Amino acid sequence: MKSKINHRLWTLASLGMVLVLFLGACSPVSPATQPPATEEVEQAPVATEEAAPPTEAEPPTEPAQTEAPAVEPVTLSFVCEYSGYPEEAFRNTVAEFEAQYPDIKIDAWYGPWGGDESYIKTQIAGGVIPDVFGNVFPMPSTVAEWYEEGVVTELTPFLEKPAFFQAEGEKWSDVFSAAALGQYTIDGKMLALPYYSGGTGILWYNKTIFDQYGLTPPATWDEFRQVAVVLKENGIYPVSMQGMPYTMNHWFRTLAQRIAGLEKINATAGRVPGNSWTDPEFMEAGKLVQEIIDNEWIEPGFLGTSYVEGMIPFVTGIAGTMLMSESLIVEAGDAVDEQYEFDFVRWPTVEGGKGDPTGIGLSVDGWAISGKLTEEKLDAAVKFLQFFLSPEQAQKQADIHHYIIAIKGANTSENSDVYTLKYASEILPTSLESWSWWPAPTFGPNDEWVDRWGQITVEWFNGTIGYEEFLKQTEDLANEFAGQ
Amino acid sequence: MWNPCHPGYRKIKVKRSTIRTIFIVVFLLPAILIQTLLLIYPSLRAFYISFFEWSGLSQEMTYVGLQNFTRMAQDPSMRVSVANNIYILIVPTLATLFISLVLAQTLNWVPFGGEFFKLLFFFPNLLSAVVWAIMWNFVYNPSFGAINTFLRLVGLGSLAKPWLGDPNFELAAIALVMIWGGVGWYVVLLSASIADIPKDLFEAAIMDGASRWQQFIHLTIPLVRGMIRISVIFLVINALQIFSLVFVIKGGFTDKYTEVISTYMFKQAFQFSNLGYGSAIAVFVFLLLLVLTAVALSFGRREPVQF
Repeated sequence: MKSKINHRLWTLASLGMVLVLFLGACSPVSPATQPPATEEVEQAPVATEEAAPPTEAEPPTEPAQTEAPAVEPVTLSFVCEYSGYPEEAFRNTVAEFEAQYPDIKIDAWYGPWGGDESYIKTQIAGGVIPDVFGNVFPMPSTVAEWYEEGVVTELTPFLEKPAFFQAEGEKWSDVFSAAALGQYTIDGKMLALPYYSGGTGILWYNKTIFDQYGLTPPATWDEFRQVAVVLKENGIYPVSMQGMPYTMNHWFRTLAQRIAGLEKINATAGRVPGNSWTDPEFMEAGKLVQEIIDNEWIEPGFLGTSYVEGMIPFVTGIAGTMLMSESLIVEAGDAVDEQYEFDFVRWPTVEGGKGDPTGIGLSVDGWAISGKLTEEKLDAAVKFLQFFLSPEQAQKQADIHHYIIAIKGANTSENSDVYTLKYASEILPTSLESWSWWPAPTFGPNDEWVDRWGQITVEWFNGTIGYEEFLKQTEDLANEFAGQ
Repeated sequence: MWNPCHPGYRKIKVKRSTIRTIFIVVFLLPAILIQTLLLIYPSLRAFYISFFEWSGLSQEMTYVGLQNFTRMAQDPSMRVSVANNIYILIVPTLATLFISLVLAQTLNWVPFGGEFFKLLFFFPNLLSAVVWAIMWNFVYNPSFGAINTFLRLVGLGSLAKPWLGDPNFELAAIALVMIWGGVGWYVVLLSASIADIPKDLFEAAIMDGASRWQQFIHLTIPLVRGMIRISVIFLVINALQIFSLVFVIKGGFTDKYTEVISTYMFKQAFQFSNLGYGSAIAVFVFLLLLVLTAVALSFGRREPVQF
């Protein structure tokens, strides 16, 4: 009898626990918990307001006082997925900032160089938005989503005014490369600030092979065509390509820019009436890409290769050219056959094309400010970023990590590799417009669209469909997403 | 005190059982807590979220009822994922089972070296699916991979393909990796079951003129059906939950030829910020697994064989 009672009690207790768990799991999402520093802000002392308390639209115009604060400093949480060389550079900057502005403390966290915003996305999904954050390649489409959700704040008002180290009449936006700044300008709103800005839209060529066959780097598509024919005749594949959808459709996107121009692309992607992906300009771009597929100019086997695998035919002399970023040789590492010399030029123009010939695909990462900050913390965050991204600090950082950064006059040092130096000194400063290395938001609205478009791209490059069908399906896809 | 007539005797009896209960609960509690926090609660939470439209970023969740589930039925990408998963469910499952049975039986027949080969076959199970994917990425590499290099070496270069890029082969290439990785585990399981079969049954069969194949079909398979059923359940669960292998071997870019339910669920939930829809897909997989497991358990159920 007692064992029966105990059994029933256990059963009831178990069911009760499951019910409690179910009710707990089915609770609505709780409001985002503010970072602990928020509580500090509520007790924020009046003294910090004496340091030129700006309105939301006015960045501070003079440096903060260095006198010891009478009350507790404002603490900003700062998260960046930037371990390795950049971390050392950033730590130095943060230390200098705190020394110069003791009323602002930076609670910094440096995560692994993982990309894909995984750590920051997880934090945000958990309701914890860092006050200032940045990482490798946050997709512009992601930042646009973040803005809609209130995760990031619009920076346009601050960029239209001088930073604290600038004179009256200057703009903070002048500090950045024009091409890079456009990456995070969505619908006229600047949502994040560019930092790293590698170029994906440059044409690499094997200089040794080109010299061997008397070829010169092509400046136009006609010249590229001639080069491709010569290479193919001599047993060299003209093109090396990675087997990922975005690298494949990068060829189309770059040619589309050259022929149609970025304005036309934006109008078509934005579903402005009178614009279609089947318009003649895009058909021409598609036709040129079809040429490289039909003539078998691409090294066979590229389909299904990974990012690094796809570089190997180029760096081992199997293929003569490649559309990649300036870091190709560095990223290929030991795979590079040292008997070859490599170089790159700006992507060829297309005769009669309407696009800016200096236009370039860019991989840009950025820094954003939380959209949930109080006015005081927002001012502190803006001041911190102005300091962090000032030319002086940016140069110090570049001297350590050697990356190409989107801040004018503060670029790689002589310790950088020759390709980075060339890109930083010749290509980036003279590029007037850019588009994201990632198809969204320039060519499509979001990552889901990118995935679907990528599948259509794969069908194109594996020969299942032609360029006309590719563009038709692209148009259908755009309409489908516009109707969502 | 130990006298049953002593008034304190019953009290001691109650205290012992209570102490025993507390002892059990204390030792079970950590496991229960971990299971609850990491499995039960998230599962229930996912079930709840599946009825909402939620990006995972916003603080607002919009109740949509069964809309996420009806969307699944109309989603062409979901249909493609299910079709690919059915292929993964059938081909590697049957192939793994058959190969494992044959190998297990063979290893039980060989006079020596059986244990060594079991260990050899089991080796992939010591590695994670991510390692499998990285290894086989090299094997399948179109330029310098082992397969294409071998084909070129023996004069069959025309057969060399981009195995992970050719739409006709990429899913089969992934299935092959699953078979390679899974066979060892089931060889060990089935070997143990086969070893339990009394030898005199096989001796009797030999005396009756049964060939090895006939012994395998008419003796081995019927007598290990219990273990076969369990193996099928494991294989079905693995096939429906497969993620790491596909995701890593395709470098994170699955297309319509390799998209499976788990990778599509991951995309929806974490890349496209459709956490509600992704959760609905997870619930669908859970229900599907329940049904398939129930079918597998009930199929061919008979009285257990006793030797």
